[in-house]
Amino acid sequence: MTTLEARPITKAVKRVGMREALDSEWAKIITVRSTYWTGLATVLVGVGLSVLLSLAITSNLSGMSADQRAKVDISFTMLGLDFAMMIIGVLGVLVISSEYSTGMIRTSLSALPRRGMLMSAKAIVLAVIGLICGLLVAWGSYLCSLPFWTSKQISFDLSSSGNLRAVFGAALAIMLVALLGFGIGSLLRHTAGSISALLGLFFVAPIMTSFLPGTWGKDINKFMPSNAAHAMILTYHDPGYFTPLNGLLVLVAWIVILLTAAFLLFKKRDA
Amino acid sequence: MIQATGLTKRYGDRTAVDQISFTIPPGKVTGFLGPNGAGKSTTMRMVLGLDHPSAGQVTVNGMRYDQLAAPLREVGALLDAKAIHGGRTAYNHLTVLAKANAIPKRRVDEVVDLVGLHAVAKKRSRGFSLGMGQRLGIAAALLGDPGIVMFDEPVNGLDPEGILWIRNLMKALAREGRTVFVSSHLMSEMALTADHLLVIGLGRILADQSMEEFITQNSANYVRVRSPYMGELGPALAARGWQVEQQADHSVHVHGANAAQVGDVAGDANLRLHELTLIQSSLEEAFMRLTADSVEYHAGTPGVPGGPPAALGVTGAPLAPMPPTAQPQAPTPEAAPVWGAGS
Repeated sequence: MTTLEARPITKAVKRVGMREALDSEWAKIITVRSTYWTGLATVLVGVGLSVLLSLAITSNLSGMSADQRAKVDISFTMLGLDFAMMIIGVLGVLVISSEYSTGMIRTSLSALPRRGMLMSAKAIVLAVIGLICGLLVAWGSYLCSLPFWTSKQISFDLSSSGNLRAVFGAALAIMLVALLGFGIGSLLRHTAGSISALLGLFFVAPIMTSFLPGTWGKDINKFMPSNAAHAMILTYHDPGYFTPLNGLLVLVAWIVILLTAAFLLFKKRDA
Repeated sequence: MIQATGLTKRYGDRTAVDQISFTIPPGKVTGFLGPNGAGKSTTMRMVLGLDHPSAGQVTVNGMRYDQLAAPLREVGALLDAKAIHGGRTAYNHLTVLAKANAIPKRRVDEVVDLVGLHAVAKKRSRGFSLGMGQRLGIAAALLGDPGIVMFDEPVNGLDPEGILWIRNLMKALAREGRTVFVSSHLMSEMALTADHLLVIGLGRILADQSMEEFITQNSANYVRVRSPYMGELGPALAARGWQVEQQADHSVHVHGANAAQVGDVAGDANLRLHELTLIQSSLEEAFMRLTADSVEYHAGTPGVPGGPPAALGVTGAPLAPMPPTAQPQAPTPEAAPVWGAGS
């Protein structure tokens, strides 16, 4: 360091891409506690409520009408799904909103300035975490609730058509709602606001739409994310819900719309 | 090398950066100096592609930031030390960044040792002091061993030891041939570190010159004299070839002479003096004069509308007692420069 001569430092470096982005985002999501807390809460609340609701319903089967009993299917072993979805949705929000609240987004973007790549890597990593949690919730709920039903001579055989699909549908719904939360968080960039929006979409909006005149309320209600997700775990056709496939498509449509809008804004806005 | 051409950023009808052009060459510390709100941070954010320019462009090694193959290996930036997730440990934070740009893991250990964060590397950064956060930010900036480093107000909130460390680091990085671009609102700080100055005010470049040029152009000294016999003394001083200026408060400013020379002239002529003061215009004052019209927020200074306190940078004590009213503006301790850049 005795020379004062200017020596421009240039190095030939390999262009970084999706592989590095995924590597980094995975390291990011597994090194904060909120991932573990929300993941754990999703599984515990999902499985726990499914078991409690199964216990409550099976102990009161005699009080149900024939109509109601006809509707009992495998979805009754996974009734904690709605609440599990809420919590995983919060994780989806946090994954992006915490970057804005802490300012980390500016550091992230200086490492990965190609915004589309950063956002996709985040979404993919979140989807993996969401799917893991979803599988735990779905299978945990089904397996832990089943004994209450078999004790009442009701069984949900996985070899029967639709039952296996319903369990995987529940897992998939959890994953998709994580992405839905991610979309909302990316649009609003604010934790409290995004969680409020998510809760509103899941709990308030369905109630509001039910006040609409005529069949409007019912029709619009089917499109609500919570109901589209519920459609995915039904094994019979309920006029109040879409078919499982359409439920999946509606949920995917929500995500595509939200993420597309979020992506366009992310590209355009200053970080 | 950082190059901006016609770089402009508007927020609504407010222009934060107004068509600035500059080149930051390697091998030097280039100081980016300007008052608060001058557009320094906005400019730096545009270099990193965080903010999109309203017009013009800025390139890094000839490319837009988002076109760089591995940005952290070419540019290391510390814009905001608090721009980290507090729930992540320092080590994990650096690992996340290293992975994003395919930087080997051992480099994380290297920079942790380099900035002296070894003891707290496994702690979550939420509990870090300002200085520790700043060191972590610098570790992140040096992670990719970049040829360009960019620091926004790096000494803010640091203790004297930390300030010295950063100064030496920046100089060492420049000596190694790297491009060092550092912003500050303190002229005194720049005078100690920068080789080249880029002065910005209200989004416009006010000066782009070497530190030496800036110093020779802006550090003017003069002697302030008061005497009841000014009618005789004035011509006597002027006869020596010194420039003598009559002031509104009946004092006289003598340029080109030192206090002893002026005192000798008065003594030889048996003319009593009521004041003989050497006034050194500091670089801080020169900087304030340069940016006086472009300061966004003026503190209400009674008697000196819109300008810096007139007596800032005054050194040397008056030889004769003066009535307080005769003094144009008392030097305030807060306003006095910490490092006498001009002395």
